[in-house]
Amino acid sequence: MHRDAHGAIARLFVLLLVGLFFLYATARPFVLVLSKDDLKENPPYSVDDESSNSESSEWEEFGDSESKSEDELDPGSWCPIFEPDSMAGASPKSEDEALYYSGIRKMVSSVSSGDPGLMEEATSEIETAAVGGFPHAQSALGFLCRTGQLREQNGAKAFLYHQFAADGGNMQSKMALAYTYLRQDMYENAVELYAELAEAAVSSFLISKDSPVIEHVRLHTGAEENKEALRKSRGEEDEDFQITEYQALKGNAGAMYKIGMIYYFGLRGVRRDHARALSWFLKAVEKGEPRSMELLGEIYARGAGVERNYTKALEWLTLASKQQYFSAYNGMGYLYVKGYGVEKKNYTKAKEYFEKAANNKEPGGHYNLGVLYLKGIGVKKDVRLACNFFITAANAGQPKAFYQLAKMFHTGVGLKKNIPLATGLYKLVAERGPWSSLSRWALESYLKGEVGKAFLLYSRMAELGYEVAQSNAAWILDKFGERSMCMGEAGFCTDAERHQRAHSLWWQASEQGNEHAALLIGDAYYYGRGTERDYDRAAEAYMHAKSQSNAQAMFNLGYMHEHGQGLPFDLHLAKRYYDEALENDPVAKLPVTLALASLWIRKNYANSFLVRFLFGGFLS
Amino acid sequence: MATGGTFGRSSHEPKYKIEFHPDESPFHHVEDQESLVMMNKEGQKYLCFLPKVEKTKIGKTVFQENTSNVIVETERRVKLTPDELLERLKGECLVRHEGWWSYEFCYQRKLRQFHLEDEKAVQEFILGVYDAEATAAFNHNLSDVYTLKDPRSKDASQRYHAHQYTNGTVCDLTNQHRETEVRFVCSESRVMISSITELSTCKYALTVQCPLLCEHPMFQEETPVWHTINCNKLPKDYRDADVDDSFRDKEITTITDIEVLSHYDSDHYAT
Repeated sequence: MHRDAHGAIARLFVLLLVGLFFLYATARPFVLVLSKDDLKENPPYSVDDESSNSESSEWEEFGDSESKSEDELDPGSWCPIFEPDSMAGASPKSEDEALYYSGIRKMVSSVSSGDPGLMEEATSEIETAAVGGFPHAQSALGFLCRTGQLREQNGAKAFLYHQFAADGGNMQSKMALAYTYLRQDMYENAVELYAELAEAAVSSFLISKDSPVIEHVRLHTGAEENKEALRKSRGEEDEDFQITEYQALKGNAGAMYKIGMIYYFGLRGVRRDHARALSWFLKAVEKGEPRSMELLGEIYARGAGVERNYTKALEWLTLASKQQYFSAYNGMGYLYVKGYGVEKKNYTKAKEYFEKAANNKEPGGHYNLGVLYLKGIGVKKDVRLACNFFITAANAGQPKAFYQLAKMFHTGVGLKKNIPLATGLYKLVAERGPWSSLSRWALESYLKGEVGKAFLLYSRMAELGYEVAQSNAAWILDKFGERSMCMGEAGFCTDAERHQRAHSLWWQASEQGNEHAALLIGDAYYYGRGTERDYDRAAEAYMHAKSQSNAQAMFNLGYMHEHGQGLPFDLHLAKRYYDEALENDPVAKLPVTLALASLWIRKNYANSFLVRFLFGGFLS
Repeated sequence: MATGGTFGRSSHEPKYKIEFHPDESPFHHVEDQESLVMMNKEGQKYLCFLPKVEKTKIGKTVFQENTSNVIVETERRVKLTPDELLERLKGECLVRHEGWWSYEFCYQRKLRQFHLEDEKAVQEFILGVYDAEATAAFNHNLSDVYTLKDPRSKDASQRYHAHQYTNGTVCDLTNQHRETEVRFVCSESRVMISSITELSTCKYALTVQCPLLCEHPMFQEETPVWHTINCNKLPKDYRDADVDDSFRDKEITTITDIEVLSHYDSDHYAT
């Protein structure tokens, strides 16, 4: 019995490693390596029960809280500026709020029209609101201080403003603070904040299925614009979208569902529109399209664009399940657990439904079963089993499962306490929270050619710790220069200011695993772009990139050894680096072959005329 | 000289924290310390003092120009030299695994590179044996400051203290003995090897992070310092315009004339 358990565990974390590797490949590098130590040895039941009894009341899933609207989850968000239709009719609740939004509006206009005067007005309005204790204005001021817009860059002031804003309930400031703590390796502080943020994020997720990955689109590959990714994000102007829309109009149920999804989540650059989504889904269900039925169930359960109606939700979900659409069982189980839209709670039925989903490879089912076993709802509490379920669900990319696992690492229940790991997992989840709409707006602006707005939004996200945003913001600075509408200490950014900001952003991105960033920092020093030429620092930066297996960096290091730039002249090492470059990236074959050839000539015909002729001119 | 490897995150970011002081023991600020009046959501006001500015850049240039004077002076002031501070490492060995190779560094003894297979070392090379003479000769010239350039900013660099390890296994490519420069840097984290790199064929540089070295002021330049923001509660009827004047007055009067203050609330502290 014991050996079986061991075998099962071993298999499970091979699964986990494989699964997480998948996540690693799709998401930006966050490599989780779980070892046997992480899975706690199973102590007798009673111990677990006692220690986690007090905690189970904190654990939200299936708790009594009603799901909050996005506005409540991310107060002070800039939604009214960027999605004015969705907030139509909401009047400011106080003078400070009015000032705040006016300030933000002016801030955004100033970067789209390129008017520093407007920015000054904006900052003074925001400051006034902040002095009045309005937390969201304090958050905005924190942003202005950290990035140094029309003021000196000041990390301490930024920290102070964010602290007050966070205390006042601003979630974005919490993100900024958590990220600051993370960078300072202050995990104890970071984990608390990220836990809170992740919890808020989770409550905004769908009940039954995983939201389609709202990708944070990377604007660039290497130094060039990523035309592919951008093409796919052009929203309603995109060809693919128009084709699908055409098909939907012609009565294709699958296409109707697709369009509905796009409007519901605001995918591919299309602005979210719950009303339109609803109408498309209704049309699709007339044709018996099961996925749309499930979504309708979701919509009625959440009250997204309609009045909440659990009975209808259950109806739609049941219909979907009758069509062998197993994901719907998740929603149904949920309703039975909470007792919504049914006569009374029925845990046995809930468990049945979740099992149905799980047995049919629906990750939501595994997740939900995990929760049942974790809290002992309708089953005997079994933290071990819950953990296994979560791991399976996490493998399938369920962010809520990551959340539960993070909690386990955080509290040390079911998994060995590991604060840094918990922090990392929480962060992954937190970054999918409602504040990630900033990403949508930024992309929209960029595609419309409003680079200034895009840069502003990416800068804000960068402050919140999003690696993709850091990389995007830095890339915009490098690529667009003045057109980025970067605001410096005294008006538009000078060249030096732009370089310094790009540099700092690249560095932050590189800390979070972006190996390309370190390469770019090296290039800036090597070519003297925006800073003095410094071969020593270039070499250091390339070394950093090399340690992240960046082939170009390896090649550059080889070159520098070959020519004694910033590194000692050493042909052996040069060859070694060239070889390494080729090993790491077969695409490098041509340049490496040429480089090796030149090395060979230099080595074997060191003093010949040919060498002096070829390299005498090239040596710098 | 480039050393590569990964730079610890913490070694460059200033660490911020906020302290809210209770009414009974408010924070006493220093002259020209910048302050901000902050209000929280409930309307409670605070006077927050920002940490004295961390402009190390200026300090750095001075440092580099007058190195010999500065070093001699501080050597006198500080009780221990770098070598004395590092004495506590005597007898200790550190290990680092880097892919195929593993490295074991024993302080003032030797540095070896080996490949671990089933917990046994196969393929072993000695990268250098501690050479007291070479080290002394290297460090003799007090005006030489050895720093690692940090690409994080064009001014940032980290000073290191070096020991020379020579007479290692002979190198096929150069027909010379392998040698290593062991560099000790200050870092708040625990003692560990932060990187090993090959400067040129069979000449290595091993960087050791060492909190012990942080006690020496010359090596402290790059360590993360706690930048504390100190906040004192303010009375609700507090007016911003009065800040400088009122505080200055209170400072003087409180010390000398306590009776006069009887009409003030206990909240009105000098800070």
